[in-house]
Amino acid sequence: MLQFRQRLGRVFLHIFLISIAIIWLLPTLGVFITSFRSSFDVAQSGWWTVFTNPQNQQFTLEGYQTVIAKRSMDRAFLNSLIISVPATLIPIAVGSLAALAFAKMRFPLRLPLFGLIVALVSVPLQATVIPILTQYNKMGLTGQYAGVWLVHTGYGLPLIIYFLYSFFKELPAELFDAAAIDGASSLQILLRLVLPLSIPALASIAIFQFLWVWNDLFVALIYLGGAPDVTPLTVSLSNLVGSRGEGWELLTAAAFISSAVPLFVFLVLQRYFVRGMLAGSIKA
Amino acid sequence: MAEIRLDKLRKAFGETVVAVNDITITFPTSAVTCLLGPSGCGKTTLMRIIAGLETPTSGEVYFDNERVTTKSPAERNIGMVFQYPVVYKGINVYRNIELPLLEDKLDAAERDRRIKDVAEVLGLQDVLYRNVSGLDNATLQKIAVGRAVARQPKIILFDEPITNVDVNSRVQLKAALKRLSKQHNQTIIYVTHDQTEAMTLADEIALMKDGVIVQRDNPRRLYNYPNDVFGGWFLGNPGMNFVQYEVNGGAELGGPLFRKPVRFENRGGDRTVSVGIRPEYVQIHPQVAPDAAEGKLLRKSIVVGGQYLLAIQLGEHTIKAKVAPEIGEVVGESVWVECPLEAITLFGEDGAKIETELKPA
Repeated sequence: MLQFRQRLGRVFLHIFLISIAIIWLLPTLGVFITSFRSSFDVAQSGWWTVFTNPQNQQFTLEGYQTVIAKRSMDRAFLNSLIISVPATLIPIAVGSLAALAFAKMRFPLRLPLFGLIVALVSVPLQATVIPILTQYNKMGLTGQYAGVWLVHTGYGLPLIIYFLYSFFKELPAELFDAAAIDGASSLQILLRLVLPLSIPALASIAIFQFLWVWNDLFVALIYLGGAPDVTPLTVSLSNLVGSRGEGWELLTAAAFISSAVPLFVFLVLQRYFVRGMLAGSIKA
Repeated sequence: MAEIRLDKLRKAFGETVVAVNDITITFPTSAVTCLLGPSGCGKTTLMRIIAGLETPTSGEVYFDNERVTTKSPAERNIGMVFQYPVVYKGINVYRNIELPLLEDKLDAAERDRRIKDVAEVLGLQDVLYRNVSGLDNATLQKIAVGRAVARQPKIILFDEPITNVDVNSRVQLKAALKRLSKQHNQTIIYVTHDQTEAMTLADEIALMKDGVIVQRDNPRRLYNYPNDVFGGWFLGNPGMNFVQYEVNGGAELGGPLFRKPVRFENRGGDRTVSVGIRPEYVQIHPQVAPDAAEGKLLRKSIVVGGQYLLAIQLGEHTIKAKVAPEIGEVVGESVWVECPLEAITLFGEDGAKIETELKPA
């Protein structure tokens, strides 16, 4: 009897989870199908007619071809990578050093400084735009990759430091005691003891940061402007849709190209992801 | 080759917590001394002060005659093994053991010889060139021990090193520890809360309670003749029986433990004394015996080794006795209890042992 009830519970659970997954996937499916339809079809009927009225449909790769060949999406794709990879690695490199110091070293004003950094999480990004842009214009950083790397580092650091701090804090104190006795250097402590044990945390914060930078439109638009040689995918994407709502087949095709990378990153790192999410809450 | 001398050592955390309270002791050269005590008695803090990981509030630490109180852990040339097995990731077992050796500027051949040596004693030959990821806890702890020992420091500190290791590997690791310690005549301090571990490993045991070393003695003496009620209670499984007597400054003890009164010298004029006797020394007779007091059997259970543990009511007191299977099997509801005078320790009102000899009155 108990077994039966347990099994029944499982069935309901699965139905529930599958329905949520379908609801979430539905828009993606719509985008996916639209990206293969001709501009005429898109204007005529909704994507679901593919299922209700299959014989009257034409599928085409035109959208993808146009996006890649004519709208220089390949360049934008490359720009996105050039922006995202350093804008992920730099703040994590800097953040892990800071987090280690806050978690395991003793120095004056440690807590106030840490509090200040954590408080920065709550500063809205928009509030910082004008002062930073004024400085950037003076320094000639506007429209430069280095400029975006720098702002993404700044915007990402508070959360990264806080996240890694809570992970490093739970690392056994013995690691650091043993290192002190063995005479290991700070670099050895970081590279041989701390980071290898923190791979789940690093992977999940890397996913967060990468996705945020990759999908970011606001920062790119403001600090890079519209120059095509530095424009990332998101900015080009938003330019694809005409102001009267035409060009949907282009937009959807481009959106799929754009989401391929985050999807790939997530699939590669996902086994660390769940472990990393739990890192702060459960002691290993 | 190096004795550790602690002089009036004291460590306080904040205003209220005193982890180490004015300890003066010398740990002898080439011996294994176990610091034994319940959780929170200050044994780990004491060890961390010796290692230099903690600064004492006051007092001094000497290695031989050199004052090391203010030296950094790395400068003290010691080895230490922790409860959590510390290994350096991304390098193989060999490089892990080599790491502290590089600090000492030894030539490559000597390093290699030492690493191979400890690897053999610890049974690490097969994994010596393996990456450390994926090795089990016991092996990781062996690597940590190897790293501490290969440097051939004069002093090695162990902080509950086998708590996280499975039972089978424990025996192996313990044997290896013993062999390694004899090999290089190192001064070893071993912190544990496990009395069996302490009894089997130690040349001497320092029993700690509330930041103070209560008694330092070899395991046998500590077990048989505790200086303090605490030692009798903490050691043994179950601990010592204590029976209180109101003597009001007198010097004679009678029932319920003794059928014929016994005398002792009450120099301190204590009003109450406790008679302590270990359960395994209490003699039980299934039938009436000449000098034995009659008691009632309350419970009987079998313990490790087939021995019986009996709970016996004697007057208002309950005492425990550990007896051989032959006796345990046949005892009935009434038993006769005899406490041999030479197995008894007397404790005064303050819990300290009374130095006296018990004699039939």
